[in-house]
Amino acid sequence: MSAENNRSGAKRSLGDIAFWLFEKAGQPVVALIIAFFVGGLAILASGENPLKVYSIMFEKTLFHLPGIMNTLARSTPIIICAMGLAIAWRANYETIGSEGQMILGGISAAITALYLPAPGIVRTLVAIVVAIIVAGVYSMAAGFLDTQFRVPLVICSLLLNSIAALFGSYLVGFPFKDLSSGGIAIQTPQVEEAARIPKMVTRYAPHWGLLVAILLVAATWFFMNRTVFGYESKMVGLNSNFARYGGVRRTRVMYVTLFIAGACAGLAGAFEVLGMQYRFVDQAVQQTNYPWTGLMAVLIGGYRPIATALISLALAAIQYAGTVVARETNVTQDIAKIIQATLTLLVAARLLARYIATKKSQRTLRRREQEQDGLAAVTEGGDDHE
Amino acid sequence: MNESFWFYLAIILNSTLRGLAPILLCTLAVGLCAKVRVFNIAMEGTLLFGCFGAIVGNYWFENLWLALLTAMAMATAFSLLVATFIVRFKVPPLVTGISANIWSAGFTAFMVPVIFGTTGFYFDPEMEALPKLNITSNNMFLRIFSDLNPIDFLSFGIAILIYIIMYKTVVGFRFRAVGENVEAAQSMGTHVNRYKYGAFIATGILCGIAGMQLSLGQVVQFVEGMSGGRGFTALIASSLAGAHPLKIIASSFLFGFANAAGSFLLMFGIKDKIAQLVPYIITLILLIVVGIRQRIKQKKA
Repeated sequence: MSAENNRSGAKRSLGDIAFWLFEKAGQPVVALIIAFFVGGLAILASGENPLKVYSIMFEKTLFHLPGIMNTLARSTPIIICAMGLAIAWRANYETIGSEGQMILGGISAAITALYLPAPGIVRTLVAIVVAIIVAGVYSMAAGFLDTQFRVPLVICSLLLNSIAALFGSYLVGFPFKDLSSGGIAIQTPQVEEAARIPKMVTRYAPHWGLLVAILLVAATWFFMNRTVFGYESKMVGLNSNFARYGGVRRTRVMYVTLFIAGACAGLAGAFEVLGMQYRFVDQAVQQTNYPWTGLMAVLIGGYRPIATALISLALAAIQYAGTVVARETNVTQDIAKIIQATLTLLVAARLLARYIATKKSQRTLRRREQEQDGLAAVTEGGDDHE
Repeated sequence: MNESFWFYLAIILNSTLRGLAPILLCTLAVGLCAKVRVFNIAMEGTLLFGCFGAIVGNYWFENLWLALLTAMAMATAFSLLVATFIVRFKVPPLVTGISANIWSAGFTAFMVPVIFGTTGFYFDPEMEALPKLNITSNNMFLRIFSDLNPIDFLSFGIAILIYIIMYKTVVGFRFRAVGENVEAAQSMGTHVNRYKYGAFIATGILCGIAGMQLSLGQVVQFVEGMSGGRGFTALIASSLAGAHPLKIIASSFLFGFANAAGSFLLMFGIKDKIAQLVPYIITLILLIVVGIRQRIKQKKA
């Protein structure tokens, strides 16, 4: 952070720091204000006073211990999903399969924690590892289809999402269904006390997974900015051909980044099962919308891990604020979705400058390549060995 | 082959046809967008707006034609908003689509209590539904077509119409040219962005019709998130058909049939989720086969 911005070596004044902060954070803040304005219009339409609703929102979410705790608990899966997605998307592998991966991770963790004959803590750890491996491999399958059979990654991950959702619903609805309560709710039996992830503070929602999420943010930052592989994956994302000329093995980058994305989604699913609900509930992942929220955070944060984590927190707070407002006023909790999506759209529109720049450079490169090929064709009779 | 087999097949085919129109129309819309090289993932949200518009129009005007117009207008407005971000501001379609879907889910659910005064869903037994074909005869073949509404028949006509426009007219040729090679199309003097916007407007109109069928076709109601993943299914069905309008009829039929067979098998205690899985697996296999064939072609070349 400071190393990059302090090339001149001169001491920076407060004004410089303020300017830098505005440059980095100003635009998202403006976007946030506009998003809340749009939400305010919706609240107006529903006949409530936006100022009143927003004051309740802020007070109960930010200045209220249960509110803070709930926000933290909600942000755990969002942050974890977002870290994996940030790594994959930054390498330009635009996977949208997190939902299916999270479902598979959750159900496999639940099954392991329920039926593995081992002491509690071992069961928890094995369940987490199983969830990570299952979801990670599932994520790599999309990449395999993309490279081997030219099925676009987006379509693959969508397809695998649908398959995972249906398969998960089948598993939880038939072989692993909890029949003790008459089988009305479609869910697995409860994981017993010993195999659960304990809460950080008793009686409050956040469990130790939150600490893992924080560590994961640090690890992601380290991976992106301090490792060769992180640099390589960034290169692939910025300019795939350049990376190839530089000797980066693109398929390996793809498989590893996709595995990380899947593993994170699976981990998030496992934490939800072992730390929050203590069972896998059908449609829970689809209803809480954590994977898509994580993706929104990545898109707003521009693939930077720390920014993405902070935005995940903000989005979790907005989500929780939605439920609070639904309890206290006539506004439904969908107001949260409106604010979140508006925010993402606005910030995405801002990202376009960088996007255009990358595309332009790619185009130039391609043109040069063609010129080179043309020259080669003239001089050697043209036969490039791909 | 006994009598009862044909009877059950007729029932399954009938419920396939009753659920087919929304998937077919959405898949056609996705195909149009794919032709101009836009992966329109905002389909789910657009369809939801179509459902919402149809029910709102019917509630306000108590007239089916005006309900259809409202549905089309709402879905088209939303689709144009998405198009503005994608075409004008050059935001990557994936990013736009993902946020647009969430926005649409939030907005429609938020507006249900505002407009109807109920939460989560709106249901009115008094409300006028689409006219249905009443067939009481016991002929198996005719049974297939019982309870269908005009949109169900219209959707096939729309598919054929799109095929004719796409492959037999100048407009369609230019439309395809935009997707095939932007530079070539531009050098011919085609306004590329106009065709892209056109694809999105068509998407809105098709989604309006599809939403009308969903919310007023069989059961008159609006439920939060009633598009139920059909938009995503349409994306997959379209890629299976290679965005060709006539193949799209077949591919969406496959998905519709699997859903119908799934809910039918549920009566016999067989899990419907497994039946619903089948078309996705088939799609996967077919996409792989197409990919292998492409590779073989490339090796030969």
